[in-house]
Amino acid sequence: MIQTPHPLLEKMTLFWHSHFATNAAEVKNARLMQQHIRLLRSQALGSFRILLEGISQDPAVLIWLGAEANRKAYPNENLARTIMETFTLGPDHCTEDDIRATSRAFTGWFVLRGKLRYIPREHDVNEKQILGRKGNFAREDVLRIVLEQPATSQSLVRKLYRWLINETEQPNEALIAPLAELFAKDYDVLKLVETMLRSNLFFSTSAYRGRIKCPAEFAIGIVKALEETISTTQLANDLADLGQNLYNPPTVRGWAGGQHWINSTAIVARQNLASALLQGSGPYGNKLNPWAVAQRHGCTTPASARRFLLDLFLQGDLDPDVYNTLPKTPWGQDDDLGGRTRSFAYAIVSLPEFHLA
Amino acid sequence: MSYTRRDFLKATLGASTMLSLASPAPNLLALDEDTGAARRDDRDTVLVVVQLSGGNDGLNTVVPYADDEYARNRPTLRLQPKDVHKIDSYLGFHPRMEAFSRLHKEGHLSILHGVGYPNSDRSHDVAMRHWHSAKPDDPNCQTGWLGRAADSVWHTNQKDMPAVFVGPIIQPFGLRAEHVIISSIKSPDDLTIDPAPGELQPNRAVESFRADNDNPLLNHLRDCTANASTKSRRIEAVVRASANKAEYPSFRLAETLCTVAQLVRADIGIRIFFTELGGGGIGGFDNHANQLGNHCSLLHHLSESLAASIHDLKKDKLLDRVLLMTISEFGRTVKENGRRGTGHGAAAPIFLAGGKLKSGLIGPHPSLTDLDNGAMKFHTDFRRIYATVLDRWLGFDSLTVLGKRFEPLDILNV
Repeated sequence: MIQTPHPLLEKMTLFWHSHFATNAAEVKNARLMQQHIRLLRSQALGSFRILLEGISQDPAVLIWLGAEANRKAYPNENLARTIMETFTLGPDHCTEDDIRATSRAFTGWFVLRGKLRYIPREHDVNEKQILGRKGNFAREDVLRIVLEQPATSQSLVRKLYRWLINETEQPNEALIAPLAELFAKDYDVLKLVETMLRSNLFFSTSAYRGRIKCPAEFAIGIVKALEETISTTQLANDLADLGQNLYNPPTVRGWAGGQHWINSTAIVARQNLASALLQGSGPYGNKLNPWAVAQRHGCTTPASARRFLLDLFLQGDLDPDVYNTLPKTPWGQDDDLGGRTRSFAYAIVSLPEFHLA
Repeated sequence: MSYTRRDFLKATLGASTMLSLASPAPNLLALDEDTGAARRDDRDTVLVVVQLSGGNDGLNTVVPYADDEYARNRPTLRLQPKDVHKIDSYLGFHPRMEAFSRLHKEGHLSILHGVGYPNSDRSHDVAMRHWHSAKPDDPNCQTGWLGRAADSVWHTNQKDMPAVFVGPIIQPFGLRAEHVIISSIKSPDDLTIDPAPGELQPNRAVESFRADNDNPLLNHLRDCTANASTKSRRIEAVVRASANKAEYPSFRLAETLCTVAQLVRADIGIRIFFTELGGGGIGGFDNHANQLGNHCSLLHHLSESLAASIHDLKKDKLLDRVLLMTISEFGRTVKENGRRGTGHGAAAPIFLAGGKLKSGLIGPHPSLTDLDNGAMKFHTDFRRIYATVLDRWLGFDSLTVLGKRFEPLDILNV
């Protein structure tokens, strides 16, 4: 995420990582997890149809859901339920009968020694009724049926709205309907994301500071703004302490996010992470140097560096009352400008405003 | 010297008064008085879970010394009647658990006999997962019972973290929540604000902006930031005040429980603490060979640490708000194996400690002859204890957390 030339792709990969949330500690196979993340990244801005097909045959996902053995006699309802209720339709759009029938359609698929296998005699060939359709359905039929349901595109558009635009206001139907219709045509994620990001809405006030940054966005936002790379092992540990253990989402429903990210303890941990990042010593070394970055961008005086950092981290937008609380000791040329700028940058990223995107 | 709430308030307010001189925020003192004196949750109860990893041998913890079957089944591991700390004419504590024996006499320790669950599993991972998820019938359960408990009381403007893991191992599954973030800490320092880069002292300039902004997220962030600073100072004050006072033995669990006691004293809103003894994974209580010495030192470790924390809390009149509970994934076989150890069993006793216990012994000791595959049978489902603790101690709804109603036990004086 730090070194990518394509931040949006990474941001969407993270979105899908939380959507198709799979926990590496439970999968217990690093190679399969790598394969899983590669799948997410390959279609992060590609086709949701291909992504869903990949997920439904991804050994990591099957292991995580306890569905390594989909026997005819013991169809796995957890996999069917997750695909319908969590990955596509959203809750309350299918019945227990639909889930049971879907689990029968998935029979025959096994994960053996980390590889996906199909064992035809374990597939239930009897007729199934799923979401009002009848037939001798197999896995690919289920996915087709589920993708034809308007609920699928609607629930995904709503989730993306929360991820990209605003997570406190429920978007009204008139806003979601055309986007969902567009998305349902070919499930092209890039087209949907592009439409959202180019919309007037994205540039309106409701999209402004309407989301709480997830811990990865918070930390990587600081690192990238200061044009450096840092130790990712240490960062991964610190992000886990903030509640976002990458590769290990808590449940199949991913990170709840939003206001759940924030309580007093999380604020302490975020401030301490910011301090560690900007300290110039300790676990993160002296990679991040706000004064050097400001100079690189043509700042020669402390005042211009302050303005630069405010623009960089808060788009220069800060309530004057809040601005007045920032450290304002007059900086003379004799002062340790590197150190002063560090404290100033820390003060900015510790502000409540910086946690919003 | 006893440490009262008055002392505590003096300590916190004293510190912040001094600091407010240097602070640009004139309302700092008022803010502190507010949150300190008008504590909304004066009677907020706290649960401390102590996990004994590896499967504790209940028979050699609370010893049925007068039972011939015990002596017969434990030719090398049996503890002698003259050495145990007698509870009654049948049972006694392990010789190195003198502290537990004392707590028991003082009414601060209950023994719940014969705790387990139907068709209990005898592999460490699976059994421990069952105790953590509290849903043994649902192999796909992805959350722990304490995680769900924390989720069940979460509300939109919640500022305090409801639960925390204290210890050096990976956070146990029991705390896995779907929504709420539950931190793992090693010491109170992990919950205090570090100094800003280049500073020696944490930044004290905390402004309390009125919530007049129309962005609810920003309001929440501002509330939490102000709260974080207040709580951080309170923890620092408590740690400073108790630096040379508390008497804890130099055991790891004692250190952990000392941290817990400090955080209870700081009153920062944490209702559930999870701690561990045995080292996680397949823990130290798993004694298949040469059990005697190892088990002995772990029990001593447990008993001394727990007693120290009970006395510490009692001194500060905080004990009535705290309930400690031990859990372990299973008991062990009645018969010792050929290597002076024991195999994985089923039912075992659970200990409760605190200031609001009803009685010292709860339920009959399970029979040593009517066995299930070599292990004692349970008569009390562990989820009945969980449900009792949730409903009657924490005031949470056990049905939401456990998914089922379990018959409560009459074990608490509340």
